Amino acid sequence: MSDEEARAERLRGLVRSHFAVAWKFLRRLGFERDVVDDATQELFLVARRRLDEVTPGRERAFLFGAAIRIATHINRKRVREVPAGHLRAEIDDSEAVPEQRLDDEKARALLYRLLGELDEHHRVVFVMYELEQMTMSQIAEALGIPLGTVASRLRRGRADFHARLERHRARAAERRGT
Amino acid sequence: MKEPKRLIHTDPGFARLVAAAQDDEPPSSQIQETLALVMRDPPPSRLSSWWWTVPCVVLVGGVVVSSMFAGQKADSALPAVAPGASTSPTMVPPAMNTVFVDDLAAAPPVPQPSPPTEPPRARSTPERHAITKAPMAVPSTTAPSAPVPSAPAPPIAAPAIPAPSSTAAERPSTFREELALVITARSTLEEHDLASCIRAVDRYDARFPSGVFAQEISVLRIEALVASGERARAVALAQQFLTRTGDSPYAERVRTLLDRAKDTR
Repeated sequence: MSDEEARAERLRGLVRSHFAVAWKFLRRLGFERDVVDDATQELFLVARRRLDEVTPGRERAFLFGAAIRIATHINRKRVREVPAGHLRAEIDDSEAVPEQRLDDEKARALLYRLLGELDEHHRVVFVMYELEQMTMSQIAEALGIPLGTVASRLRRGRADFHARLERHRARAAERRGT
Repeated sequence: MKEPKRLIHTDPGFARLVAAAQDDEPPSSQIQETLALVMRDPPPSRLSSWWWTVPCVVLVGGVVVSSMFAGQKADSALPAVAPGASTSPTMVPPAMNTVFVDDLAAAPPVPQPSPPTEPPRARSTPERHAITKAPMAVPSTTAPSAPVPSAPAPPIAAPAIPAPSSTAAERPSTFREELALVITARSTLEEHDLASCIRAVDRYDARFPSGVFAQEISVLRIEALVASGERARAVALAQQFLTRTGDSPYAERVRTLLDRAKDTR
């Protein structure tokens, strides 16, 4: 197999094995589905261009790091649509029910809403750690930031998320009591 | 540095939310489109054509941002983005399900300013591709996860499953036709037009026995056979597929089809 063939094969494998992962990650960062569709394509164009820099076994870290840069760019272009904003209209206090009793769609909406309310830096680290199950070292590598910064952002993100989730639960409890 | 316990292990409510989010997945056509986009040959130097820099349609999240006369490389339009992670104008959705097998044979070349290697369904504008390397081999792609129709179909001549991977010998000029045949096969399958679907996959296998979409075509054929009631052949092809390409991203899909074919025999 020539170098060119090997490269093409690797790129194809990268897309097939990581497309859904990258798509979900971008979705969890707070973008609407159609934005994520385009952003993910953009992401793999970046991967094609920089394929030689992608260390085997560390594809996800590379893709997530690049995805965040793309997300940042989209935000700067002010075309970002945070699901939270969209979903806030779908979930109001009258629908505040315990998480376990929500159907999937409403559960997703609640999750995205809570994530969308986090500070952007905190949200990124929170999503990578709590949803993508990455280690703090992997996050530090992907984001190119010190481990201490990851820990700090994660701590704040968790605290903020927990407070918001508790607020939701309090509303749900209050509603059940009425 | 000690890592905190993850919330999904300590908070059942949070775990419930995360579980629900797991089902939020990309549409099956997205991977196919992305593969078609990234595996296609890179365009020639954009400096050679002034019109490469003119129209730049941006469509993000339903918000269309037209930026005419971009006049620059895609990367240079993103000064704040870290090297290599450059973004570019978002892509225009392709026209789906509009290519038909018979049309392909008679259709004249599609006039377009972009290089002739551009596939018809590519979602991005040419400006976004800064690649100037030599043409790349176009390997197989994507996941046609079309629903299995139930309508009967005429007997199908099913050739052997082609080799799953492509080679650099696949000339770029075949890419568009290959992709068009995949689109046709998938769209006709979704429309329960099984005869047309099989014609498309037959034609693909005849013309591109080692094509870049060989795996996708194989799966489409199996789906069409299951849908048309040719269970035995579907089972044979599915088993052959799994034997040859058991690590394929479509293996799970094929196993499901295999189970379905066996159940209904």
